[in-house]
Amino acid sequence: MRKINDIVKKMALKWKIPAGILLAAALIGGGVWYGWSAGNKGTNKEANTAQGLVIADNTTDWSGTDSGVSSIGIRIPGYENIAVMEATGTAEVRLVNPPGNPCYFQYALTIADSGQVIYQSDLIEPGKAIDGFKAANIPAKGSYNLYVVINTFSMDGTMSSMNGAKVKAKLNVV
Amino acid sequence: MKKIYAATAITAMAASLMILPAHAADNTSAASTQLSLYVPADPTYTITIPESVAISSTENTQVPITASDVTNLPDNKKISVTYASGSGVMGRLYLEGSDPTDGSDHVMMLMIQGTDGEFKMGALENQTKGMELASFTDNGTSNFVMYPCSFDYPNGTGNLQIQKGTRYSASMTYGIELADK
Repeated sequence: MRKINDIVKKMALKWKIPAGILLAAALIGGGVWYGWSAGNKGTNKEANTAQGLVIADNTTDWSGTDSGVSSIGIRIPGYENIAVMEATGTAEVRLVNPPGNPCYFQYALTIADSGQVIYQSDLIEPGKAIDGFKAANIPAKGSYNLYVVINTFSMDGTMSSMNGAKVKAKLNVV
Repeated sequence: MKKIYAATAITAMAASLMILPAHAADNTSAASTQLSLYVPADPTYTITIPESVAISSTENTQVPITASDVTNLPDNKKISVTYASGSGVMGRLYLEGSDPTDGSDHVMMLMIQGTDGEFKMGALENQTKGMELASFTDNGTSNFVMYPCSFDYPNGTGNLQIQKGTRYSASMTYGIELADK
């Protein structure tokens, strides 16, 4: 700080400007630049980080098993049994957002009795899937009722909540 | 003579050896167990829920739910689609909107009909949560019905009346599970 003051004083003497004014101008300039830069950063990521949501980067393409039945709406896949390894927490299940859906999917897997969330995904785009995941907070070996909650968000940049689903399944910890 | 006895004995032994395997085989067959293993494949299905529903201000609104790609569904099970929650406080089902002219906020309760045929008010979350809206045993489409509760109060005022110029909206979460028939 002393060094900075010395430099500012030298500059002030050279240009005959009071050191205080020069230092204040430098600080204001720095603040403005920081504010502008932070604001810009926020704008660029706005579409992806509204409500703290980000698009998952661990997805794969998924074309699904389309029977040819066409219907306008949000297609929700059914889940019946999900197995999780107790030792590692790994689950070999595909969490998909069927192609053609008009929204992002966010999965949250919750144990029905305790309300404990064992996994929450980032946003999955239509036609993409998360192939397996690592669960946390998993209970002891056994079978439990599980809710596969599918939250949906619009893709128009506002990330507003749309109609969602809560699929009842079985969690088998092995 | 000894040679004849010896030859007879050898022939008899050989014959018995030839017969034995057949007897042995018969015995094994009688005690055999067929081993098999079969675990039915997990049911798979896709349920399509509406992206958006424009609630009519004059008549009941039909809301379609579609089941497709239904496979391996056990005979004693059905896919049950229920009302899980709405976007209102405590998961209640009502529409919310603001009047653009004066900024005043409005709500409009919705009535919803399940597969039992009875209409229930969306504000009574204890009655509506878990109510079945559609069920499927195969591919198909089923409708459930909703209407604004203002229909039941033609002379109502305030939130019992649809406020013209106010854009109301809400969202719903559907429960989906395999249930006993």
